Amino acid sequence: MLKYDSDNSEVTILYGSETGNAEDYARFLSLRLQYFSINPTLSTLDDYPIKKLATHTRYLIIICSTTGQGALPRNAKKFMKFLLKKKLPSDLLNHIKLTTFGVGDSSYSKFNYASRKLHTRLLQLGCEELSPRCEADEISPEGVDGYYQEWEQQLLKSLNAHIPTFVEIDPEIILPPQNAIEIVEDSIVSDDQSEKLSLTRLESDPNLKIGKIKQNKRITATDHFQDVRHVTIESEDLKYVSGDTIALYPANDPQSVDLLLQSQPHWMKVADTAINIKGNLPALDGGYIKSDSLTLRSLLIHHLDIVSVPRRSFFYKLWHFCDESTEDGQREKEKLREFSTFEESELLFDYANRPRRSILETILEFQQNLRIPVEYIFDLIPLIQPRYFSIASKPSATSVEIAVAIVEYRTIIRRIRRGLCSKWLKQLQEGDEIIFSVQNSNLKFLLPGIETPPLIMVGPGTGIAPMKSLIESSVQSQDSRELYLFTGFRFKEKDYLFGELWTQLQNQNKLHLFPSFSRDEGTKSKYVQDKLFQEYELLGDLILNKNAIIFVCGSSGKMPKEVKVTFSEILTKYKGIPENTAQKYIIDMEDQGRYKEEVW
Amino acid sequence: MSRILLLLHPTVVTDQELVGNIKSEIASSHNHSNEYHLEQHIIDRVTRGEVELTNNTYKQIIYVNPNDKAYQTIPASLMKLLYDILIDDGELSGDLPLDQTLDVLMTGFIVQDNKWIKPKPIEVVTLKKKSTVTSSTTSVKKLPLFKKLDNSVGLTDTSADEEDTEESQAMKRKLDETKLTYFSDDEEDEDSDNENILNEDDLIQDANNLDSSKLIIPKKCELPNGKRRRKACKDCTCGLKEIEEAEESQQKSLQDSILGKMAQSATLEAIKIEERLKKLNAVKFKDEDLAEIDFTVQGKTGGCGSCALGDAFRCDGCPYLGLPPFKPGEVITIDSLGEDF
Repeated sequence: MLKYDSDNSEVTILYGSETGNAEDYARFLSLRLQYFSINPTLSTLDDYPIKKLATHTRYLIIICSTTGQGALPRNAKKFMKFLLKKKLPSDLLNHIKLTTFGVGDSSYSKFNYASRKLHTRLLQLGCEELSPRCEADEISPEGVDGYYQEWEQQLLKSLNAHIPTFVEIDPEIILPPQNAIEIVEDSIVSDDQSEKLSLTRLESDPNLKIGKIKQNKRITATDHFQDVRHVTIESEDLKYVSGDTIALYPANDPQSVDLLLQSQPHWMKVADTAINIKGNLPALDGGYIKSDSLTLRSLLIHHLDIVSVPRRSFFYKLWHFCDESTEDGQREKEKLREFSTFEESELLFDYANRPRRSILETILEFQQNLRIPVEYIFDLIPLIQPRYFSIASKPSATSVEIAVAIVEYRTIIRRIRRGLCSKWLKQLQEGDEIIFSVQNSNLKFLLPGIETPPLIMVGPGTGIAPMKSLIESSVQSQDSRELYLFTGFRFKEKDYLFGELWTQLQNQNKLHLFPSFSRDEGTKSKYVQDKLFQEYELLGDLILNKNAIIFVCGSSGKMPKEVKVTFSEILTKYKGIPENTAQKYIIDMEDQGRYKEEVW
Repeated sequence: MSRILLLLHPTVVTDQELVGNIKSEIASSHNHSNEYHLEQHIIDRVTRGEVELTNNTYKQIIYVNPNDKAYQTIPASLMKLLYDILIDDGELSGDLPLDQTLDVLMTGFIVQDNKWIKPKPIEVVTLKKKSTVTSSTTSVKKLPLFKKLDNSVGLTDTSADEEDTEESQAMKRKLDETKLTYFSDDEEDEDSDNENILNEDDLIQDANNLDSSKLIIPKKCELPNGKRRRKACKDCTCGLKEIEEAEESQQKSLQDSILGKMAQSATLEAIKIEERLKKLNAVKFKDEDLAEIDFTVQGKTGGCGSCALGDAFRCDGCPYLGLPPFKPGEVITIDSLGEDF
């Protein structure tokens, strides 16, 4: 039975992606290969049934990004874990030809470590090189695109030499959809309450839990620009420890979906008719809603990310659906096609990425001449991915808390940008039922032989969340761990998250508290790194003499990097350790699990 | 004797007459009934793999499916199977879908007069390729580039000549089966002990042995159009980010002034209308009625005529950037220029 599902070419593209960048290159490549008569299997590294490496893969193409500390992305960890088994023989994969494309940023010391590790291990297991591998550098002048083009060219050359059926197909042809949507005639599905519908996902993913919103409270001042929510979810049989995260599964708001449906009148006509999606659905954390409630409308609401920024692979498909019979249509088709080319990547960046334009807005802007066949909707619009949040509460079987900054901002586009999850979360009311899941991070805050080493926590903004969990848990168990909290906000009076709690614990001598406020007048330490440096004597002693563990949490970018540099400067100032040695010491701390980062 | 396969859609099985007609058609195209051998199967059973069919067997396959065109789709996997069981120059005919030409071609068929024909292979390249592949495998094995793991034992005896004999085929099957045992996930727990797992970070040491000459380097350091790279880096320190921010705020004030003008002219117009209506003793306008304004004010199409087309077509620095497209001369609502969905 299974053997008939296999594809003749046995080309497999696997990706590991944290932000969706690597994923888009994988999607784009998959499409490109289809235009060379190759029908590759496309999947995340972790969702690919690993056995198929033996049975269905002759040509393996891996596209993978590297996260913070040289780690593999979340959806690539399981795959790596399999490869790392010592007992695997050195010719296990000697039937596979391999190439890898790493997406990285050379300003990080562990540049492209993920793809380098994968490539090395796969060669150790017998893979041969199909075409040269590539380590793309995001901050290089030519960008990841420049690397990709060169790499793809070599790859195509090599595939051409290996695969006899390699033939270029006219790019004007619309290829058949991978997951065609099929309308089931005469079967109107009653307009179920959409919130209830999301709960049916429980049936397709056993890890999901139903939770009831107990509280969804704004914890920044009403006159502060940012809305931060403290959300408490009640459930049962929860198992988590400090450092773990939860996944939420947001949905689109029905009005936006309605706008999209109206822009494609032939979609609107069948919006509430039952549909089937053909082919194998891609694996999805959080599963799909029940198939008998599946309509175009419910699919768009619960699963398709219509407010995400359109990527190159989106335009690569979209331009085919533009009617060029009029002058306007011709011009628009030309433009959409331009957006899908590397030559005009600037154009795409200025049109979509920079102003954070959404797929919905793009389709609306071109709706006059766009007619997207219903069959292609699932292929065209990316799936809504779960959003992960650090748990802010101490372990509990019945409730879990998070702190979420609502994402709302303006770009050059007049309409306010709102994050999909933010918009969804903001409207949640007390008593609403949602689905969620607990994700174990396996962060451990102990050292060999030392149960409760001192903890230096650096968590500005909503990076405070896991610190709250750690502190509350430690205080409750009275484990006598020394807790040092470095946190930072704009104003003491406006956005100091859980400020009262920290002051109270400090007064009870349960917490050493070092807050900084960047916009308050007369502030001596604007940012957490300033405060850290001021406390060099205390911190130097904790690190060098008391085996302290450092835990940094917050948004990625400047902060985590500067904090790391600051710690190395602290060692230099405290003990006169030369710069290089101090940096090496911090890197060693990372390897020993004494320096942890959780950034997003 | 040529073998012919009759593939029946489940809906025709009960239709004895139709099947009978087809059979007599086949008979009439042959002189003697001993010239051919006819088999018939239900398509569903073939698709599900319940019927085992041998590759390179049939001269002709006839697909009988009298349903609507819309239901005639042949899944790619079945197409491939049908291709495989045909002999070279064999043909597939009958009720074939018309909208799947691309799949058909990608499977390897040639489409001729509504028939799909399995072409004779032009040359047997694949075998040759295989042998070069294996020889390169052995050469790699002789000169290991990578640190071998202490306990890594190969499954294959690389010294043996790998010829495509039946024996080696059987060996290969055996090997594949042995390989598969490493992929079973039953023993997940036992394996996750640290002792049985390599340290991921050690791989970075091993990676130093990777051949750096075989690493792709992009050709040019500048954009193809010679422009500067406009995208500011994540942690931009060169000032581009500030320039971009300044551009953004400038754009916003441009938009403000446009929307301001529009609102102003709308208000003026509304006041006039209201005054006129007052004279007529008509109903007063409510605020939301005022939202509808005429966009045919001065400057509506701009100098280049592309402003109305939307951001994708607007020039750098166009005052309308960031606002939705509009049709010149059309009355639009301020709502459609709204701040939010």
